[in-house]
Amino acid sequence: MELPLTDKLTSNHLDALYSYTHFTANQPPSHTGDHASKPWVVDPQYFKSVRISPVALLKMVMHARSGGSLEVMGMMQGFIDHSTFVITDAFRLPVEGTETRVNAQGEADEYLVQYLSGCREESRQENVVGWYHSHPGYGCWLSGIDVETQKLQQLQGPMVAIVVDPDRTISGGKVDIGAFRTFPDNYTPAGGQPGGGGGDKSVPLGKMEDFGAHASKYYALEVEHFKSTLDNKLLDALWNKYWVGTLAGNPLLTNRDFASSQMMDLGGKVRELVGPSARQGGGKLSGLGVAVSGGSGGASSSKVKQQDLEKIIRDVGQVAVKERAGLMAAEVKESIFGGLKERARMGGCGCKHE
Amino acid sequence: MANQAGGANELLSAQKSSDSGLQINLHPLPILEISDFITRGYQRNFKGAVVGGLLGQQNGREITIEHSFSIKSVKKEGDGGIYELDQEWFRQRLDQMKLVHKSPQLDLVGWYALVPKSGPTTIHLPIHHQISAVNESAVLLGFHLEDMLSPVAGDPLPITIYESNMEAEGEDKEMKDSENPTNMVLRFRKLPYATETGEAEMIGMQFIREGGANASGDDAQAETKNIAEQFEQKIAVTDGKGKRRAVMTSGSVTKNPVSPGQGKGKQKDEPSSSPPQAEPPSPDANLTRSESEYMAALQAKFNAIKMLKSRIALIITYLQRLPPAFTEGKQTTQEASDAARASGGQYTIPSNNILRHIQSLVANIDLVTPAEQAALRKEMLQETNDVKLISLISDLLTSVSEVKEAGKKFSILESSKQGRGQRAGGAFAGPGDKNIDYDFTGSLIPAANSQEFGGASDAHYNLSD
Repeated sequence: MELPLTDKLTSNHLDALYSYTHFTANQPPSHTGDHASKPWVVDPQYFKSVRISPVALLKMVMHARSGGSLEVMGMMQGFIDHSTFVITDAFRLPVEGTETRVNAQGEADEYLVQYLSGCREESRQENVVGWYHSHPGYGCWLSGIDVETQKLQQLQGPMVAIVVDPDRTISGGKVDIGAFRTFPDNYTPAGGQPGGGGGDKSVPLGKMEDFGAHASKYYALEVEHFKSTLDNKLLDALWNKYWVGTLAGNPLLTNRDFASSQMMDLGGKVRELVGPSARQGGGKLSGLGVAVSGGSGGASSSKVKQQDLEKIIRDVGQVAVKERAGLMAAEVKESIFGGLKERARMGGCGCKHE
Repeated sequence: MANQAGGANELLSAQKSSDSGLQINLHPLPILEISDFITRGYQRNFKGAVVGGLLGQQNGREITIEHSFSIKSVKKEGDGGIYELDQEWFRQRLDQMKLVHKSPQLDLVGWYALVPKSGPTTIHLPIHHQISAVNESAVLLGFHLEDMLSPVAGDPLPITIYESNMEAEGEDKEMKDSENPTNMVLRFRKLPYATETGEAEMIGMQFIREGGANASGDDAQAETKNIAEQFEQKIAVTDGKGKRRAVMTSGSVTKNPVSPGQGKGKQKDEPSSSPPQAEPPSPDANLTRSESEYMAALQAKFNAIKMLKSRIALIITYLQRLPPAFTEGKQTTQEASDAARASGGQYTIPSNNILRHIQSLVANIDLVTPAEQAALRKEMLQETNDVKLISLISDLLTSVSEVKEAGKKFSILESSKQGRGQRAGGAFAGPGDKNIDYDFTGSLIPAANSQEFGGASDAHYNLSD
């Protein structure tokens, strides 16, 4: 029942993030003490990155997925390592529909307190370092409500907000996750960098307004993950069982709904871009480039159009890539398993057959 | 007697259908959670027992194990150091878990602990009783650390799942009178299990597995990142000769919001902000992000195919190395297997069971090719068409954008040529004029008041912003 005395299952160097010594030694000035002198208060962009453990990551992804199209939410535990948040575990909160009210977790306060005291009793000393929630299908960014919630959180200490999109995770075959911290109200980031990681976000039409209105109030942190040496070995062992799914799966089929909805959404965006100018001659494509006559607000709106066009192009490109990969999967299956019967009968393998 | 309580009675998987028939589907998260517990335990000098609860769904004979959580245990004084769960703590945590795992509703289906390879021992009994009080058919997931210390080839996961039953002790299974009741004792039996993964889990696991990061406390930059991440900051650039050059952008992208695959001439204008860094010259350095994603997908397929191939090769080798006397039908299976064992590894041991499996495998190959070839081909064509269509749309939009760019540059040239001639104040269109655009055929679309060359006062070139 107890851990056998051996040093082969873990490496003090490679698994350092799991130890207490690592995080007590690297704690910046503690949560107590003079608040104003904390480095993250002095510099609102102090924290640069986030490192997530495999357990925390899987739990968050599973939770987001299980919520379906409902937003779900939970808390994360860990510690701070200079300018990095290290997240060692995550747990769910019994709240739903978190996008409709600020501080939805206020309802789960009692749960939170009880859960945390339970953790202390089993000698898990990590602090709460943030909260996570899901945006099913509409990407990783902070809505207005989220920004307010995170601002409240940050008042209590160094906290990070994480967003997971389970739909894009499944369709893209890659975990869609983002980490953010908000700026204080009177702070404008130097250089006017668009918030939320700007550039490569593709936000559905219905949410564009919410995204745009608050994009400058927060910034994105880099997300990395880590795993222990034991995890490595187990993952290799587990992988032996999963190759079957890789070969047998058909991503085109599984992602059909999502891909269709994305194309429709992109179509809507193109129509919007083209919209007012479509009535002039030249057809739709020319509408994309028609000069804004009269120059009323001409310059800036054209620039916005340019950016929108670029975003649309990027998004379509991404959908195209995923579709191509799905097609490749189907073709591979075809070439391996197709025509097995005929090949066998023709005695290709040199064995006897009926 | 006490020592026999656990290890005895190991019925192997050959009889799984005639057994209790419990089917276990194990998800990957509990395995990783246990691994996390162990690593944490070592790193933090944890002195207690590594035990926890398993949550899942129980539908008749099918049990899924989807989630797990550690449980606080206490060591009873004296009594040889037996561990027991802290009941109150356990109750509270179990209620919390049930509260948040509502769709689908998960219940306690078992518990996990470190178990020696030979099976559970008496020290596991007290907790097992505690857990069984909540769920009678609770299973025990034993994690075998010895397997991790000295790995056995071909035995992938160091896990065995045990179910417990009350069985009559002793050989005699006759009916006994009430004066002499049969002694029922708890026996554990190995249960075969299947690993099942949802798609989200699969993707999460691949993400974790492929990222090369370890948990060292080193500076983040020192770690290797996988290919896709490495290209986040690189933009493939075409310089005039049609070759591609990978150029690192500087930290912020404020000055130049250029997307991958598009930054034709613009990067060249700002050599100072994006000096090519001294990256190790990898052959993949010039891929765009979408290409690297495609490559990752191909790589995953390749690995899976390799695995398939090795498995098939294994079966073929087995068949090829059967003792010749057996294959020619001159020996019975029993004789042949004894002889093969005696031959010390020269021949493989024939087993009717395995041979039957192989036979059914070959017979099932027929099932793979569907009956209606025509319909399949048609559907494949449709899918291919859809995919190619989307690619076409994407290329089309890129072309539109490129044409716009070309048009803009042309207009700059035109206007500067014109502006040299006329200097009617204020109508000089500076560089960066974005409002002259061209329709698809490339001719200049007249602005509100049409103008011809030379009519600068009529020219509505909006000033650049």
